[in-house]
Amino acid sequence: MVTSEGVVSDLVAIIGKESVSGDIFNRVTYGQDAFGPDLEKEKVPIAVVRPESAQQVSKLLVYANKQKIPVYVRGSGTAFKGSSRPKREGSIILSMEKFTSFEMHENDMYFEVGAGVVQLDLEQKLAERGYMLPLNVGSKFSGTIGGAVAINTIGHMVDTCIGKTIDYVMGVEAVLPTGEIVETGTKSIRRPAGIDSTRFFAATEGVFGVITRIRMRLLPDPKKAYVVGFFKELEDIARAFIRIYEEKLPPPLYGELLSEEACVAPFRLRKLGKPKGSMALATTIGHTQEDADHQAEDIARVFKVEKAIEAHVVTDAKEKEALWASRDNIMNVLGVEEGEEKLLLGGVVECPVPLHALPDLIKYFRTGHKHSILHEAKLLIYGHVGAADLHAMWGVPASWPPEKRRQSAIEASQVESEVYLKWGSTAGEVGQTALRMACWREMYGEAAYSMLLNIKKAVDPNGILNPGNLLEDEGKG
Amino acid sequence: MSREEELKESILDVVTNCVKCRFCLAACPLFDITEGWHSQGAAGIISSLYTALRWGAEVEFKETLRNLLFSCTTCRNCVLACQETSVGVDLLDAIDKGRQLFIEEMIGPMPQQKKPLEFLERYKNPYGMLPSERKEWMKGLGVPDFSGVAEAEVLLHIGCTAAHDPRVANVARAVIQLLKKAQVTFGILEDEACCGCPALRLGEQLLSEDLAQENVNKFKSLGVKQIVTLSPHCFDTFINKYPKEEMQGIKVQHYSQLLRDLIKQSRLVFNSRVEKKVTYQDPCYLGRHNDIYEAPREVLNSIPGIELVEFRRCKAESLCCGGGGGRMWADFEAEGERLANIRVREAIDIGAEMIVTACPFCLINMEDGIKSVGVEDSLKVVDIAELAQDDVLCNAPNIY
Repeated sequence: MVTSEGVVSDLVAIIGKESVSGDIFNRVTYGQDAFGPDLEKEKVPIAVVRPESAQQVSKLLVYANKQKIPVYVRGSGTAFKGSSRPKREGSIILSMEKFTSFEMHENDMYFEVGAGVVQLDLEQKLAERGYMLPLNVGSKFSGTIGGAVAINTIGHMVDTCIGKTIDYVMGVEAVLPTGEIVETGTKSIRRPAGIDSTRFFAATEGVFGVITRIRMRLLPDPKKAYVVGFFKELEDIARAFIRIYEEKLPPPLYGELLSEEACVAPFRLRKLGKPKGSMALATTIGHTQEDADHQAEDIARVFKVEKAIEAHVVTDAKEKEALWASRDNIMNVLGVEEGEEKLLLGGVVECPVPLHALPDLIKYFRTGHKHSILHEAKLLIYGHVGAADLHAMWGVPASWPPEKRRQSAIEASQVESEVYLKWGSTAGEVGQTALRMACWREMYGEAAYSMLLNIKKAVDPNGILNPGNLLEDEGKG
Repeated sequence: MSREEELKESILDVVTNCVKCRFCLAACPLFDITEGWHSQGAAGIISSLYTALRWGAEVEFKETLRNLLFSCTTCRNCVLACQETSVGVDLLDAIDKGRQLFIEEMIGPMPQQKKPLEFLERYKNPYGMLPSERKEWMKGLGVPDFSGVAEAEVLLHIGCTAAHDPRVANVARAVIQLLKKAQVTFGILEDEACCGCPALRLGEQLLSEDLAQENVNKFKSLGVKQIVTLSPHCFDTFINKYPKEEMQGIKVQHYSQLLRDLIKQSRLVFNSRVEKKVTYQDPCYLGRHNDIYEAPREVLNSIPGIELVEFRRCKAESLCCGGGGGRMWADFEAEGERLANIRVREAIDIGAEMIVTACPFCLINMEDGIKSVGVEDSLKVVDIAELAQDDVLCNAPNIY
């Protein structure tokens, strides 16, 4: 049996000293994921590795298979549902941070990017050249493109307007759990019909392989227009967006809501004063500015029909920046006034529902569920109402004991599962594995779950890649 | 509760708020110069401290933790990033308290930083200058002692680095010339003592409080109404760290703010032109710590002929020179590059002929950076006061 020191030494021999760390604080820092509880001491990984090429990833996985060492792949650890967190003892964290290549192939309308490129950096690189990154995730300041593709999240954008991330992925380079390197997809903007092996890796959350490089279609940056509305009732915002679809208007690129309670702290931070009510934001897109403006005016009209206290097209750049920043930087909502007790994050959920169920979902967050611990916390509702997907965040007082805070997170997760099962929906942003796997299994049934486990076993016979994310120990297969 | 236990509880209290989103990592300048392991900057540092305290293992991992804690430049970029994009954790508060804890437990500071603290206690400055040595730089200048100036408007706080370093002393001379030109009645303290900033930054809370009290007593006994500092570090310490009740009635300014006021009042008028393309290095302790970005720029823009080009990372995003947080007295093995070198290259990239500074540490570090990168022929560094003082321009070293 190889000792921890022996493993570190072997890893250094494989990929070099600069790319391996056995330092205790790196092992804890990389093993910790966002929003997750403190990493248990026994789950602290043996080592962190930062390979720079698919070949190095391959060698690492071959080694891990030989030694039966679990490997957890990490972009930035911001999946918010525990997928990058070690679930077995004695693991290796495989950080993708050194995969930072970027190549434009503008003549063929695509670019290729290393999986470790931070989304914000990629967004800025593309914007400089007149293109739009077709995703905008709240964690883009540290989240990687590899993570976004693995989960297939577009974050705040509206699927019905722009599609999902995977719609733009033309191919990937990936490493199988047993170390083979594969290339998938096409270099033509005409993507494959039929079996496209890109889909074995994109949108499968690291279950079947490690994505190292991604080829994505270029999307020209459209013209944009912006609308804001303030409403007395949150449900009226939901009804406004339902009406957008009922009137067959083009769905906006962004359709966001922020409850009045959730507006307070971000508005205070940005000196916007007291919110006039719950806030709705929409961003429309068009090939011409005229087109985008016309759509924005339509949405402002719809807001007013659905009882907005105030609704207008935003033309002032500073107003736009402040309002959108209030929504985009959502963790600001936990801010409190000087002298007030601090609020900590209790639980947060992401709940798509059928379009017409949006008002009912709001009611469910508020009074419909039976989790009394959450009723003691401060409820903040916000989210992608244009995509029929809302978040609820429960802020808990800092004086709550850690166990109570932890319990509120567990029960929030239960609310999420209840919503999916009640309304026949599923996670639209954060993925299905790890903390979401039990719900997936319940929703889709044992046959689908067994199929998933069997495929996993076929490609990862030693179960070394991200083990535990499919709850394999609890499953059959 | 012991002081150590208080500090531990306070640190855990601050860091509990961290949601580990790591949005702060991109803001941390240490990632530009270290190997970039996540424990080496921003939330990685406080997460490491938190873990060690939770496990009761800060002594077990003392050297690694000490190196992490004391490597922070205290530039405050992480705090602003967290405030803007996340839950608003005051990471710097946790790091400051971590340093205080390590002093209490006699684990910190870094070995090279111990001497400056001893000097501070013994000589009231971190450079070990005797009182007579401290006054060397102003010989022949006829600088009045504050106590001898009837109805002095301003107490000019020179600061230890200007008294010690000949290059920075030039800035002090330039400021003095400007105040004389503007007919400001001012004086300095002949027995000036350190503001206490190095002690504060290195976690020696008791020493910093002793120095603060000594200085406050002096200010009160002399009836000081306005202090103007050369260094943003002294400025920040007086404004934010001295007992507010005791400093009531005393206005504190950085000299760039006073120059800006004098220009607005037409007490300072620039007649000669300086035809130079310059860029301005926002000091962390003026900018991010105290939100002062415009006063120095207004002074620069008042000088005829100056073309001000901004660094790509400027104002709240300015890249730290690497001098804050006690780092002027330590080297860190984990660092393969210097922040000032990176900044010098950035200045070259934007076509600047001069980097203009408003901080003694930035000045020293940029000078070193220019030599290190080997661009002495194409890039100079100069303080705002030197640029403003056209008489001084001919005599000051390293200016075109």
